[in-house]
Amino acid sequence: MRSTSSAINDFLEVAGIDSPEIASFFLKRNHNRLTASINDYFSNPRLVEQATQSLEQRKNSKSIASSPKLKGIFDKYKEAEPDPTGKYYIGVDGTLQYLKDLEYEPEDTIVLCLANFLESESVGDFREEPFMRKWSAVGCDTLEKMRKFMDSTLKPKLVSDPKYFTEIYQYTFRFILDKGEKKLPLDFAAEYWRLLIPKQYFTELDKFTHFMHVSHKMKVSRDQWNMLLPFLEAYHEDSELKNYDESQSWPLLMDEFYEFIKGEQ
Amino acid sequence: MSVATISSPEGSIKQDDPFLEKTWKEIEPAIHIILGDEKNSPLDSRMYTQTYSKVYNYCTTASTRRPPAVSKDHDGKGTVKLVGAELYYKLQEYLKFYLENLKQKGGETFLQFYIRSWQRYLIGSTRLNDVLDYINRYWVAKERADGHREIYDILSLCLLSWRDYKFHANLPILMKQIMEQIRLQRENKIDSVGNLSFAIKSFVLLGFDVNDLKKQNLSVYINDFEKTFLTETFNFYTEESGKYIQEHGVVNYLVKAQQRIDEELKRLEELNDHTRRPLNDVLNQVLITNHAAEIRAELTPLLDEGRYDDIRKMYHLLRRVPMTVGPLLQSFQEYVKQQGLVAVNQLKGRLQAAHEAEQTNKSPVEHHRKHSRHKKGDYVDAKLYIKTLLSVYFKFMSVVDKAFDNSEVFVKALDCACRSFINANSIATPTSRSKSRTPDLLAKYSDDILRHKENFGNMSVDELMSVFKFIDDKESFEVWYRRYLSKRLMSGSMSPEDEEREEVIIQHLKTSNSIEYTTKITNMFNDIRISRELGRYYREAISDTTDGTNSQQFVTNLEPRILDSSSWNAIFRGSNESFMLPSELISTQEKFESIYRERYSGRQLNWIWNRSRIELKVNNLSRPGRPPYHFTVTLFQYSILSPFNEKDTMTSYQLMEKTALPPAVFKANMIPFVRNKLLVQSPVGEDQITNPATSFTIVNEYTSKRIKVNFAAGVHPADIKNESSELNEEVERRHHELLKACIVRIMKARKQCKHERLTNEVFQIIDRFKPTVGDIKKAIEVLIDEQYLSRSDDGSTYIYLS
Repeated sequence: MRSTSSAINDFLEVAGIDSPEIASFFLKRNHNRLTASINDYFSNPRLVEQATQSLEQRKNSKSIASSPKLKGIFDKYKEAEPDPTGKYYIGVDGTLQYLKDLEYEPEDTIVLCLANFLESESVGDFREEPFMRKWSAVGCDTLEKMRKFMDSTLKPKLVSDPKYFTEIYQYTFRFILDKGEKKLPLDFAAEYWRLLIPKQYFTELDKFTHFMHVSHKMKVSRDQWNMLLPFLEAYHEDSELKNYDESQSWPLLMDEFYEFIKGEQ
Repeated sequence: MSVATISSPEGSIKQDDPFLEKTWKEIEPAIHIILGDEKNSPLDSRMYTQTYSKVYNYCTTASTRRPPAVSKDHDGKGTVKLVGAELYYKLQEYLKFYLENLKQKGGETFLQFYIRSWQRYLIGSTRLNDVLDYINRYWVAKERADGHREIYDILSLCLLSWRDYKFHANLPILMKQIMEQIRLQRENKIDSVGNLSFAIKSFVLLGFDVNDLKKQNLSVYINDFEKTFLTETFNFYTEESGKYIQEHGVVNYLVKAQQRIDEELKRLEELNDHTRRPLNDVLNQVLITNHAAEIRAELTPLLDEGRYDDIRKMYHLLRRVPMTVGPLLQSFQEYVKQQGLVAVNQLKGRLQAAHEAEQTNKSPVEHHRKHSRHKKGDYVDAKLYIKTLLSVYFKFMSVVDKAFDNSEVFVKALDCACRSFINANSIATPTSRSKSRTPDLLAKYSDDILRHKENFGNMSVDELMSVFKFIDDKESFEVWYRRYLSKRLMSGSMSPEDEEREEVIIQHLKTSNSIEYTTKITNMFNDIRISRELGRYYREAISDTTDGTNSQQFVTNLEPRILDSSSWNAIFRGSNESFMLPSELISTQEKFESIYRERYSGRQLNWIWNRSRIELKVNNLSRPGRPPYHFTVTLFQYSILSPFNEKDTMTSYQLMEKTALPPAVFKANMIPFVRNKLLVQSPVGEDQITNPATSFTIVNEYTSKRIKVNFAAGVHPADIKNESSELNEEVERRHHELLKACIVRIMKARKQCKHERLTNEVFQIIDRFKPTVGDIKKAIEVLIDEQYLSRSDDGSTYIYLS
């Protein structure tokens, strides 16, 4: 496959524009297929408009987000060297220190909310742009304010807003997945399940993880991860899985679990 | 004879009208004779004309003598009063008198009397109607036209009088006796009372529609006769059928019931046709539906005993009530399925026993070989297996013909049953989760047919196609078929007749499935044809020495096979072992590659060394004066033998170094040489072959009864036992790819689709095999993983990502 940057250049040339952000937006939408992206670009002027607008907005907020205080906090934790594209970021050590200063344990669920809030793609990677943009958008430029925002806004939301909880849950898979991998090792997944899944589902969760170990399923796909949450809810309601129906849309893994439970009964 | 006082509804009749009295006195005796007197006096036409004239005279004279009374209606229209009323009422009175005085004779039952007198009365009434027609035509017609519905034509008047004075008054005894007659007939104690049907048909004639006398009215027939008749019929046969089955069994009952139905339908001739339907219903109910379960239960024993005639009777009887055929179909289908399963089970037992006996009789070495070659416990003979399946199918095909008139529903039930046991039975699916082996065994069977040419014929191809049409997993059959085909094509030269035979089967497969289905198979044949051409081209090229090359350095008799890897994947399997081509063959390889590239630039050519065979003419191993040997060896074997041209003894280490063969392959190729004593091994023992220090010495003089020795046939690669699991994996992969393609196609069209709907559509579209819910889910999940699809928030709807 051709490299992304050369694809962007080709795109700009053909489309006759000079915004690499627009180019990369369309390339991303079309799985980096150049021809498809260009077709997409020319056949969806509405989308172009939207993308341009949101780009403008981001640029604007960037300018607002030039608070020196906030910048000071970022600089305090950032890695000394920028990444290969020349962008600064907070790495693993910086993250640990940042969390320590915020007075959170690294294994607190709120950390996942923070990572989600700061649009982090993977563990130990906070980017400058979203850091500045998101914090300034909620008016936080001190550690004190940040902690307050997390404790009084994000934390309660996680409990009271099921949609937000699902978002965090699903986000976690992407967040903790190693780069280039498609599946999560079971042990790793199980740790986060214990962390995230409400205690009331622990009986069911334990049965499920037991089943995973016994049947040597050592990896978890994103679909399996996502569907586990609604499955545990359903399982909790129907503790003997009497109403379970394999013709419904549960992933195959749940069907196998169902067979396993039936075999045990 | 006295005339009773006449009272008329209108009271307009002058009782003392002398002309009327006179006329009546004159015609009354004739009327009596016409209706029938005690002496049964004969009728003659003069009497008719005289009576007619007298009535005519009376009516016409009376009207001229006495001017017709003209009454004015309130609307001012005049109506003419016609003469005739007086005579009509007199006749009415007389009929009552006549009928009440009609008595049965001594020794005669009421029914006999009824039939006899009714027959006579009916004749008389008809005559009388003619004789008094003048009244009918004028007075009656006028009265009825004026709305007097209580005035009837003379015939109807006669019938009504009969109804009132003879029929209604005696209905209970009449019905009792009629039903008694019918019962006696049914009991075969026929005590004839003449034609019963006259009595029954009188019920029909006695029904009147006062508004339209010509219209048949069955109310009397239905209410007074039919109802009782049907009830009695129902009761009679309920008792009889129950008792009969008890005493004579179902099979005899089938005959009895049919006979009863025929009898009763014959009885319909005596009845009004209205009864046809209700009678049929009653008979069907009481003789068939009520005993359907008992009758059906007899199917299995009858099938067991091969009594197809009796089954046919059963089918014909039950067929009268379509509702009872459904369960019969099910029983039949289940029976065939069970027979199929049992037949396969028995075959399995026989084959296993034979297999075990064979195993124990084998020497340990051979035993070991057998095991390494075959998967443990593979005792199945494809031909016997397929023949067993077919024998069940053909047997019941003829049963469907003999017992069920080849009816479409039974053909379908047979097909269902066969599909079931052909795809899943103790040989094809030893465990409930295993993939059916039938496609594999059928492919093997077709291979047998194609190899043993004497068995080939229309029959065997039809047999093959018979099983093929029942196979659920056509995809799997195709993969296996190609595997065997590749072996046939590679095994050597196929004669034009052979190819013709192959074509016949391919043609059948194409017709029965699709062109696409046989594409790869067809491609394989094309590859072989093109390869032949390439071989010719190569030979031409090397014999052309104008460019100064020496044709001596090339193998002249090269038979190349250029095979497309997508159709021939079985051949390509395990072809990646390390190998060093003997130096004397390198120029040939390079020459051919350059020729190939010239013709097909841009194609990649991979050499599959392990499939190459070499025919060697061996000059120096024969006893003096004897012709040289012809050895058939694998290319690997050749590479092992080649160094012996230089030296008589080589160590295992040296040979492996020269050939670069992996130890397992080296060993497999070496074994035939040692066994057939071409090379002398030291130290001996097959496990010593790969020991680097082991030495091999070529014999000075090779002894063999035959000139042609095939060493290649003795090579048994260690991995052959994995072949079936590998092919199964290939089938799985194909299934998976087909499912994915199908899902993407549906989702592309729908953009969004509920899980249930998607699964249903997939089931409908996929016809090459039967996917399980799990197979479909797996494909969906892979597509989600590959980001072709995503789940909606509710988790049960998929969204197509473009």
